[in-house]
Amino acid sequence: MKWLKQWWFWGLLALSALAVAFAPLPSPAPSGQVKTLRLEAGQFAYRPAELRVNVGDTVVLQLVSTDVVHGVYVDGYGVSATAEPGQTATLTFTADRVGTFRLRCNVTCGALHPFMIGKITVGRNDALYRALGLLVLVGLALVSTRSTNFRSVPAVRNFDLTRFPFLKTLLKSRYPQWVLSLILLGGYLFAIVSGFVSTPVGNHNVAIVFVWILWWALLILLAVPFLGRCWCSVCPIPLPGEWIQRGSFLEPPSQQPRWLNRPWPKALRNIWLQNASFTLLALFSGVLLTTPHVTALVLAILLFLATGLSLIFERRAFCRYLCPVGGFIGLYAQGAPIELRVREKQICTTCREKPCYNGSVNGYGCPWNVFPGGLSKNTYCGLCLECLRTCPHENIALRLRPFGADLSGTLPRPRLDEAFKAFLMIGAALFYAATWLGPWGGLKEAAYAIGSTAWAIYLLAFLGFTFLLLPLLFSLTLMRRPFHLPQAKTLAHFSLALIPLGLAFWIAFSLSFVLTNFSYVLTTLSDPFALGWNLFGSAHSGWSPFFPSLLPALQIAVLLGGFLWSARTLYTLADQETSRPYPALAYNAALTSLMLWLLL
Amino acid sequence: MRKTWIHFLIAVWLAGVVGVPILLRKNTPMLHARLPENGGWSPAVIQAEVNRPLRLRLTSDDVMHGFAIGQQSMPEVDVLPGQVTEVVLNFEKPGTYTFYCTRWCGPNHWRMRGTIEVRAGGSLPDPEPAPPPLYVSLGLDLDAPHAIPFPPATRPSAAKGAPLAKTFHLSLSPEEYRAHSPYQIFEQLASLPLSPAERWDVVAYLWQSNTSPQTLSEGARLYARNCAACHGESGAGDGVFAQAFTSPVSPSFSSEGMQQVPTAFTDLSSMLGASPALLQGKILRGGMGTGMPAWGPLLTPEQTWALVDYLYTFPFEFQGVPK
Repeated sequence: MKWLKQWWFWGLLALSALAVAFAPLPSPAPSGQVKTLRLEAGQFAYRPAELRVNVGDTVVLQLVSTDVVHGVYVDGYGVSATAEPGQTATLTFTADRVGTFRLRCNVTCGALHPFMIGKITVGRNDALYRALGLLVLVGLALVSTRSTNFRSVPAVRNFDLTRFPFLKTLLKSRYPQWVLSLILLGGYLFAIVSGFVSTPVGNHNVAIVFVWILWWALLILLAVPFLGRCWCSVCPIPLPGEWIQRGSFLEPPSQQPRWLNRPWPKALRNIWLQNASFTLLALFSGVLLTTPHVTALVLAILLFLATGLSLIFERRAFCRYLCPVGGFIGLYAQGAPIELRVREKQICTTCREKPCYNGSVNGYGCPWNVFPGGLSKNTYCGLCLECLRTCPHENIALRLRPFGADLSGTLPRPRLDEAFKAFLMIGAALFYAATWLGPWGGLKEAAYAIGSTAWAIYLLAFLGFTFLLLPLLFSLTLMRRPFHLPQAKTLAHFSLALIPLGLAFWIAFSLSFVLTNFSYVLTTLSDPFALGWNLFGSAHSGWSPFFPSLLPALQIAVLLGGFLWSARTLYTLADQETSRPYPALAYNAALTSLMLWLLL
Repeated sequence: MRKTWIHFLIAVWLAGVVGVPILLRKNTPMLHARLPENGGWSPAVIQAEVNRPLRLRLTSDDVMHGFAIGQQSMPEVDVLPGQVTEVVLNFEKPGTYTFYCTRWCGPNHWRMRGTIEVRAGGSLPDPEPAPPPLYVSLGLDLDAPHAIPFPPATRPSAAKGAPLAKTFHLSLSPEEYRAHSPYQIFEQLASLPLSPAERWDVVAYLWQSNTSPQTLSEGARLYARNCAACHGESGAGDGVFAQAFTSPVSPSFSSEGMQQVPTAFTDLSSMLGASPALLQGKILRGGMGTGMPAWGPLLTPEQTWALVDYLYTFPFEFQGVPK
């Protein structure tokens, strides 16, 4: 009888989920009224920030520009108009699609133009209500399932890529990686130079378009979720420093040059500096993401720092301890379905020379200052594959594995710096979604006006939210007894559950930013120096968002998927601590709802 | 040997990605448009030679701007951020030409002007003495108050005035029209057995009879492009930049004793006291520190007269002109 009960329960749950997701909602009878709305457009917001109309209204938007030429493009409807001060434009359309749609400026109107966003709600914000309904159903399912059932994953064998001779030869050869990173180094220098000498208009400058749209899209949507630290294995930033440090472009030289080769200070052997460098960039993001020469300056500083540190400290000190990007790639690489590990730990303990760490004629000692024999999680393995080249026992394997394998909670506990990385990334994703994708112009101005009082408040709010409020609330969910905050190690243990959640937040945020602005990649590709060229015929194709109608569904799927994945992680972690996962589950659900509300 | 080749290739590749953009950008002269607060046109003075094509690559460094040359028939082009618009100009006469921004880019948009010096054989002629504008030959004081004491209560109607004008065989020559304010003509009609409202209707008819639908539509176009941002699309002095005059964005707007807000053309008292010559004078000369630009170097006389004709559609009800 029990199975029947369960069968009914799950069937009902699945049916209601389907209904919530796809059932056509009764839409209010078409009003057939004409609704004339005045919409003021000024750098870089619409007033009012949100318009409301009824289904079936004939909407007459009177677009009034108050400073420079602006436009309005309505997501989902695909209609647009352009207005100049003194020349009101009228956009008429029938509001026959229910939902909330973004209004976007379609005329480059200054630095923050790509973020000039408004909203129009036709009837109801159906996507948000459906998403929240699904979230409730998922939560219900989670609460009514036994945690042991949920966390037990069918054993998936890791798939050893290095057992194929061809692949192994390819990976062992230094050339493919080297050529790729050399090409990327050229691209990196090109971006720096373009940022300084090419047009100051961000959406037509290589430094902005190729870095913050193309590279970022590839990194956060593909590389990190599926291949972990694969970007680090070809990243050009440490390349010049490494060449000088090693005294060689490629193969280990017969004689190494003598640089300082200092060990990195003990007190800084953590990722607090990476948390700080990411926070610093996040607080300047308004200027960094939109101003070519600022991006160029930051890229140049990173290159300079990486090179300088290579001369003072041993190995890749910059990558391991300072790189603002490397920190979160390492964090999210723990979920990636790829890993580099040793085959037999026993071989490593008996191996005398340990050339994987110390280096040999076949290759360099681990640039990431990791002993591969002790590798248990992806966080600090840069996938440079040197150990594959140096290991005399063929004991290194590059393997495909299930998603989230490092989040099982059975590995050595994460430290507090790693836990705060998880909070920082979630806080930053929420702040970015509100600032850059929301309709609130004041927030954008505050984030952009570096040094102003408004910016100082923005800065304090960011720091307070990210480093105090988020960790504090999370700690409250982990209390065993009232008013006894958990120990730091417990907090760090459970912070693993925030990794899938944060990754989903970043993917959902980036999907919107990248799909909306990807057309700039095509125009810039045809005119890389902003000289009026048209290499591939796409220079004048203009701006148009990619798949604006599909975007909300994608974002909902990603966010719910992230929530589910984080819940599974949470259940596994809670089992190990013999505690109940529900308070923390509610915390994750609340953050997911917040993100859904911000994005939809 | 192999090593040398690798070093050589690396050096070429890295020097190339750095050097090529710098060389290309340095060797491609462009005319940059920036917000007036950030420097306007750069360069602001361009040299050219008579009858030799002048090729300009226009690009904007911030928002959408436009490019046109004052008093010339060349169609205006848009100058887009980060993109390049090419124009080829040919000047048949030497002299100094004014080029200007044609897209509103803030309350200081009209300050965005530059000059092209067109030389013949290396020498730049002194500007030809142009015939003085009408307000000068009439001796009008552009800054004198011209409000009338008892304006009509409603907008005078040309439709109502038409039969009356026919009855009394009234007409107004173009010369008389341009030199007189509606109020002066109204006064001249005082001897007729008509009520004041009827006399105003007759004036409205006489004013319409001195323009044409084509002229009015050209005037409407010019008004929308150049005037409406401050004077308002309905002529009420409530354009989107009207606030800029009460909260000074530039010190010159707040100079003492000057009018601080854009004129409302819907104000019958001041409009009916202004002659076409006076209005044209104000357009040509500008407001001298009030924020009203001088349009003299940009608009042709025909264009300013069309604009003036159009301005009277605010105080007058013309036949077939919706307002």
